[in-house]
Amino acid sequence: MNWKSVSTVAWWEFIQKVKTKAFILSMILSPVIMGIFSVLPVLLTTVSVEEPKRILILDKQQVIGQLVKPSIDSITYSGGEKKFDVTVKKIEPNTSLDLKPYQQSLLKEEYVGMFVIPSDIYSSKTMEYHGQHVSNARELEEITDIFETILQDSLLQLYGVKESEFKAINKGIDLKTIKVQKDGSSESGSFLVEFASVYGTIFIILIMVSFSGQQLVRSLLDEKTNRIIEILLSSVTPMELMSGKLIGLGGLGLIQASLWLVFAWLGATFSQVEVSVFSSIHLIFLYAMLGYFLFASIMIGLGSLATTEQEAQTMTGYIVMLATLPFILMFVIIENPGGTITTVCSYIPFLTPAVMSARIALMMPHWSEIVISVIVLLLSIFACLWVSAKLFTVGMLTYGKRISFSQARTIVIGKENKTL
Amino acid sequence: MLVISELSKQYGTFKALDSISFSAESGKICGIVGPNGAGKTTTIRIILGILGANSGTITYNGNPISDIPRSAFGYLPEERGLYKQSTVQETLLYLGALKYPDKQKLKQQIDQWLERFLIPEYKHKKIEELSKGNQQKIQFIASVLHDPELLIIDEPLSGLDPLNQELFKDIVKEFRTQGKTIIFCTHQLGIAEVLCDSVIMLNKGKVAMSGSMDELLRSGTSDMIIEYSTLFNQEIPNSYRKVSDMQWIFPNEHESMQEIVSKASEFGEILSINPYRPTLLGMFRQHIEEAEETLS
Repeated sequence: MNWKSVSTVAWWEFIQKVKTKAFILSMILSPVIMGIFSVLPVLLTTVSVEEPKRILILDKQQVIGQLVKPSIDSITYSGGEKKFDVTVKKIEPNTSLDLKPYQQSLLKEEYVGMFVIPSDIYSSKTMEYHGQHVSNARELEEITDIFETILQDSLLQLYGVKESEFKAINKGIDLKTIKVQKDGSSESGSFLVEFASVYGTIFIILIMVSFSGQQLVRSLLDEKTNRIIEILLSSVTPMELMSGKLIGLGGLGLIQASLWLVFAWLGATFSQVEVSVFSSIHLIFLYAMLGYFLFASIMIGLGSLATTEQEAQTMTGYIVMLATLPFILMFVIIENPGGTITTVCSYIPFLTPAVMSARIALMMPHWSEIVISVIVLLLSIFACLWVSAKLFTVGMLTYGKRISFSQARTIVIGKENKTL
Repeated sequence: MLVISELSKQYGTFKALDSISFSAESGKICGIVGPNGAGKTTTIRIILGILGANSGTITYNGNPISDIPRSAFGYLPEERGLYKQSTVQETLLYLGALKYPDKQKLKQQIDQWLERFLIPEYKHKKIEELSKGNQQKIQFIASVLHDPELLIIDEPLSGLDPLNQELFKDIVKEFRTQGKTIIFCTHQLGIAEVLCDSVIMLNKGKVAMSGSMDELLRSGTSDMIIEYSTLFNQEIPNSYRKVSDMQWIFPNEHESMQEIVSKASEFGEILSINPYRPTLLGMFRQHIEEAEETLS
């Protein structure tokens, strides 16, 4: 293989795509859009331009309602705007309560919601909420928390228990999770951080496969459609051309993935979360690159058989679906990173990059497992490249007609006199 | 010299090339002619190493073609295509760099060739902004930029105006003068006649005819072509070749003109009698007819 030719193809593929407006926009916009999608919903629930929501409390207990009102009234949005406006109506404990007129008020939207406090709330610990919809779980939780605190304080007074005594009795166990590293060091960890690390590493591989893979197939189809492939194949071997394309477009994916990683690192730094995966980032990148080469080497073979953009997209879609498979295994990996299922999956080529990256993020596997998995991946990449190279030449030089499965099989296993 | 021996290529059950042999000398233009599907493109692709053959050998100056670096070849395919969004210079630098490592030298070559083709102002233009003819010039430049020893050009003149056709022909002749081996594929038999030194005529994957152009065009030049005004009801023997219903070629087997006229007038009233000037097209037609007759 002439590496000078490979690097020339790689540089061409990289530079031609990296300077396109589409790439620059996608590089800037993708993280921004992702950020907006994750932050905006939270922001929208904390910011409001609406009037305070009117809440009605029908209090048969006669006291609790007045006690909770100031606390609920004091809840505000992050901008300081009042969130609720509470009206308390005391109801005679011994009379039967007709809810119909109050429900009519709800339907007329005079109130957003209505709490009904029974006279025996101390013992029953039950109350009702009426509303036109009950999907405002976060708000209901906020208000219920206030009810619980007030009830608790009242009960403490009733039983003559001091608050400090109660707190001492009621204090739960704070479980601190310490992650012990193989190098003897230890660090605090949490499920959320572990989950985010695994999700992030699988996501990086997926970005590389889907972004660069799609660019790769599009580039093939362009060269096939505009017939320039004839000139290219008279200048370099199919293997050199394929390798150059894989490396050049892999570089694009690497830039995308690096950008995401910088965002993740910035996010972790600002929220002062210690993420152990950053210390093994070189290994994650190695698996991401190998994963990309594996999936892209399949795409290049299949892509060369495509005759239309639509066909190419369908083929790419299947490969990307294959690359998303590890997401299904995510919880199995997180729960038992050293378990049998996870270990077996580490050596299934299509799963290896994601599973091994996830394992590295959770619990560093033994070096021998890393070496074996890398060898498995390298062998799989070469096997896929070998098959793809066979399909590539014939596929790329066949214009306007589809190559059947049996023809493809003949191409792969057929023998030709190449040493003329 | 490029020597092709017993080359065969099969796609499934279809024989694209059936044991073809020919050679192309250095400093000569070798034409490969034939109808669509004759096997021209397959032959070229095998020479260039794009496709493998099922059997046969190809050598260049005595060495197997697989040992010859790809930088020795220049190829202008029949299928035209370039990177539409890239500029002329970017495209030529990329395609040139695949075979020639010196970037500075390439840039100089690009300037020289653009001047030669009278389009230096298009250097920084996008390919899509160029006319079809100018795109063809760029593609030709891409195939010769690295100064190849063996140049294979497939239908280089199609789609060009007469002036540009002349320009292309002059450049191809210059390459011949420089001692390069040139393989010129075309459907345009008239152009092959005036430009090529030797010709290989392919039909259905076989060599229908081959030889130096001079020999081929000289063969049968003493034959006579006879045009009849009316034909008698007498069957004309197979040894006389039919051009049309009223035109027949009579082979001259060292006979005098009187003898020929006497023989020919047995079949009809003669309108004119002229020496026969063979053409590639005529030879090709004759070959096809003979092949069909053999089949039937």
